Amino acid sequence: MTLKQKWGLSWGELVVTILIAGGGLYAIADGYRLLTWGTPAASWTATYIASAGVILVLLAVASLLPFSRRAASTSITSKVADDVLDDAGTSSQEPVLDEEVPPRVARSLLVRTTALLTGWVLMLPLIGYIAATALFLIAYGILVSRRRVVTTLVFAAIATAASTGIFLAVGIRLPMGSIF
Amino acid sequence: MLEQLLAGLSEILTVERMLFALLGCFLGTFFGVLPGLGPVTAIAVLFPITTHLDPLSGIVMLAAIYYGGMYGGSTTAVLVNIPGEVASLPAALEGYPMTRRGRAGAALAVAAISSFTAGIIGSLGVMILGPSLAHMALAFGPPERLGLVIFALTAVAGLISGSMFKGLAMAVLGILLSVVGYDMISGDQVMTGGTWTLAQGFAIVPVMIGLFGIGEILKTLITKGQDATPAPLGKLMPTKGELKASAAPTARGTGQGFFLGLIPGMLPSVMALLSYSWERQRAEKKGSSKFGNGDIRGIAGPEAANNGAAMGGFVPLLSLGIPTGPSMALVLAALMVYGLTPGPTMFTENSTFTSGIVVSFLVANVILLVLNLPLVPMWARLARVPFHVMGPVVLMLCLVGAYLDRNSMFDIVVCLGAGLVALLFHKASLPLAPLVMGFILGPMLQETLRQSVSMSSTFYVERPIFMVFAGVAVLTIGWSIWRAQRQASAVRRESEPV
Repeated sequence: MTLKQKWGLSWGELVVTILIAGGGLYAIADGYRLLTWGTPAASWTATYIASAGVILVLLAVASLLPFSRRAASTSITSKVADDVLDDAGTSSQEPVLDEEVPPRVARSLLVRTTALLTGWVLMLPLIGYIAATALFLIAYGILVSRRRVVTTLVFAAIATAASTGIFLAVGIRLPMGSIF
Repeated sequence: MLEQLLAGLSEILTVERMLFALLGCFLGTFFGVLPGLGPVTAIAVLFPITTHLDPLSGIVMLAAIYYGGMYGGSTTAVLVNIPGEVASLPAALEGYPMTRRGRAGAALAVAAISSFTAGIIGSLGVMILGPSLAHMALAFGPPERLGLVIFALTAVAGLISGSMFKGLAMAVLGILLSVVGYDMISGDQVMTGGTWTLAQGFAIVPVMIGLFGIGEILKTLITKGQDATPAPLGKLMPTKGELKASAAPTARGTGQGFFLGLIPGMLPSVMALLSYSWERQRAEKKGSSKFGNGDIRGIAGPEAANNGAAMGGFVPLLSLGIPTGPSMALVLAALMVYGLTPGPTMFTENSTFTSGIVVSFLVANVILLVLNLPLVPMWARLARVPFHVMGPVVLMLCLVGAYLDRNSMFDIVVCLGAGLVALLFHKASLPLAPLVMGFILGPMLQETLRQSVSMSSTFYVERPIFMVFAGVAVLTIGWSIWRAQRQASAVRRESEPV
């Protein structure tokens, strides 16, 4: 039986809550460290962060209560939006709201995008903004968007030139690479 | 007030600042038109660019970006039935049926005119209410400011997120993130794990861009693109009947939006939806409802309420330094980067500059009205471009923006990390707004709490204004928990077999 079927809780929700509670525990530990080994002047800050840590852990645990989890998905905005859409049931055509792609496709898209972004971050200090951005856009167009190579090259050139132009127009000095 | 207006106008009306306003309107609308992105993302992505200008030019451009972002969402909602964000839902529900009747131009013109009217009246409202509130706030000591911060945090946590526990947890997480780095009093490292990299702390700019820029873009990248075929615009000029029918909803929407927008947590998007609901009920009572089939009242009221609430949010922001939601939190962050501290002194010591800010709202509204209507066909074409084409370019803008603040590669990593965390929080139904509010208001909370305790260890029973704010905060928490429990019981009853 999955976690969702047993407690109505997704793995993602559980992991994030544990991480948040972990953040709270870390604040408590750091507050204790400051109280014990920090300068006397730090005692106030130590008490402050330790108290915030305790509150965070308690809130993270409370957020797992069933009514809290159910309520989390219905913020006031989404509740009013749902009411508006329900009332508009007579409308001849409902607005097109974006739908998520299947989980596998979404995961693959995310992994590839994050990997390319990380590549851009690593390349930036080496080859500078213009070259790193052009390479990123070309790689993105081919590996993620799966566009034709010629279209991708033209788009990458135009987008890099346009963004560089806007930055320079408002007086921004873009990162230069150490290689070029 | 007239003197203030003239002083502000003389500051704003220069060729250079008008060009920045034009550029801001254009870029803001560009972001608003892209599906899934709205004014908050537009500000998050573009405000680092504005910090390279002088503060007033930066504010002019920022205001133009904000209004452009709001108008862009309505444009795609009316023309192609894609409301980029929740606030544009009414525009899609009533505007698209008008588009199918060949009245898209009129729907867009009414949306623009209503927004413009609310923007102008709202700006005057800021000029009238702001100084009064600021003078009142001058009498506030640390306990009162502490009460205000607690109230703002609980209101946003309770109203924006469905679960008060989750909302407050995010606010406390934001508060803890704001203390990472060196302690201001002792100089000790706090929550850095002993690393020098973390000792510099998290800067506002990369965190904001990551949460609202990268996070939103990644979220949009994993949604299906929609096939949208824009219909012809038709005549831009609304008929006399349409203008007459939209006048009263515009006035009501402006008033409702502005006054309710003063309360933390009452976001422009919520106000737009509430206004739509109220206008619909009013029309049904009168027996003259054409709602769902292109009723102009369903566009005018919500558009005015949306803009009115946005203007209302500037009153507590400029006079008290308290943001009412994520977009105002971003504006506050921008003002702090410009070296300004929003609060009572904005209307006393920096009154000319503040007049300039308010006039910049007026100017942005005028430019938007003049610039955007002729460009509508271009925006409609842009709405059809698949997001995976524009998305990567916007991602680059975000990361460069994060770098610009301190020329630090660490900030780029923080920005990317914040974006991935935002996506994770979205999956776990955790709201970002309280996190951002906690992060921005954290230092103020820490300082006022320390000062209040130093003044008196029993300050919380000695200061009536603090007690009022704290009382309202407790009531908000109680109400949110009661609402969540009632909702849970209703769901349980529905799922039980009869």
